[in-house]
Amino acid sequence: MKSKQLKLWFLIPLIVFVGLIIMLFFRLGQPTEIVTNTSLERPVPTFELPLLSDTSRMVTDAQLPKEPYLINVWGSWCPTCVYEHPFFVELKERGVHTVGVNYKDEVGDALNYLNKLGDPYLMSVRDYSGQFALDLGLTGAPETFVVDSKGIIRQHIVGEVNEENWQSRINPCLEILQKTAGIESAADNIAEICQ
Amino acid sequence: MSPNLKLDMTFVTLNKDIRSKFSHKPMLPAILAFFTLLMSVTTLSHAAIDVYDFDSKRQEAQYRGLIDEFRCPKCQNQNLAGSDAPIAQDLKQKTYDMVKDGRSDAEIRQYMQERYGDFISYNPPVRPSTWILWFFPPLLLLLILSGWFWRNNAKSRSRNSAAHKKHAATASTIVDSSLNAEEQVALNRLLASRTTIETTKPKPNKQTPDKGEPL
Repeated sequence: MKSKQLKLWFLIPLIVFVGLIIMLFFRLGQPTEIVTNTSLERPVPTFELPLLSDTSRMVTDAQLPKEPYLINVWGSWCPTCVYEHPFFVELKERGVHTVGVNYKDEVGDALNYLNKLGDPYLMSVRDYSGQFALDLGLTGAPETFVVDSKGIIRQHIVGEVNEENWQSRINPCLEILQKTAGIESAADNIAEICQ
Repeated sequence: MSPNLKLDMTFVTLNKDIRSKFSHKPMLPAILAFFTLLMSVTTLSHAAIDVYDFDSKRQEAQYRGLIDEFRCPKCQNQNLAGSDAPIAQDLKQKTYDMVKDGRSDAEIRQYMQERYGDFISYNPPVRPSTWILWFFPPLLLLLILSGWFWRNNAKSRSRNSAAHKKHAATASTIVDSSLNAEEQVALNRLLASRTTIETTKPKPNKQTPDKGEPL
């Protein structure tokens, strides 16, 4: 009896070790990056920013589309933005509405970029200080937000948008938002699909 | 940069302790001077990054405290003070603006927390969802310590009772917990018979219960 008890005590480190190994094993290959999604389920922050194409004109959040759309934060200085840009041009051809937020960029550089690579945006606002991006909870460029018809942010994509995450994640979300545009009671379903 | 600074601060407090304990050692001033120099060097490099002007020392301390506490959302596992990512620069600027504006730590924390969640702070708030984070380690320590004390007590108690048992055994009964009641009775009977064997001269056909060989 005594020695049995003693053996059990000595087994504890082994059990802890095995538990740890199992825990660590299931974290292998998982993303370690923590995504902060504080902007989700909240309205697009209020803003008053100059239009990129005509910086003398101010745009406010009241002028955003009244149907589901994307907000894409981009800058001509950002390599991944250049990489994902053709896909946004293609999305425009598929009839997707995107509002651009030109983030910490020079007007000349930004306009050159759009002239060269095409302009997939309904409009681009110029966030030179980065304050609007901060209010969005941005961590870097590019980032994309899916907004519903009431102006509530439903999805936050950190990094590149491409055919793969478009098919698996973004388009299903946008489609359900379009389907439920006038309906109040579909909130649970939306959160499930969009996040 | 700032982890270094923190390290240096611990060195400094350490040095204070050392100084108070071994102040007669001649090597100490040299060691102290070395660490002080090290600290001033790292503080300089820290200051070289920021070009902010503050109204008062208190504001600067507030700012430094906050950027040490806030985590960079882009380059995770670095704080704002140690990060040069564009978003970290923005957040530092924002922190500076709010400090300059005379906002309190709580207000600035609230602002950051609204945008980046609990994740933004290396000093997360105490609330039900973070209880496990705050209270599990001390609880574990408590559990382990109490378990250790309990075991030690149990050991010394069993040692005491083992000594008692030795006395008891000389009085021709042994109480052994690994025996069941029946076996205990048998053992007692055996022991009793031994004492009778010892005192009175052996009888030839004394029955032995464990060796049941028919003769």
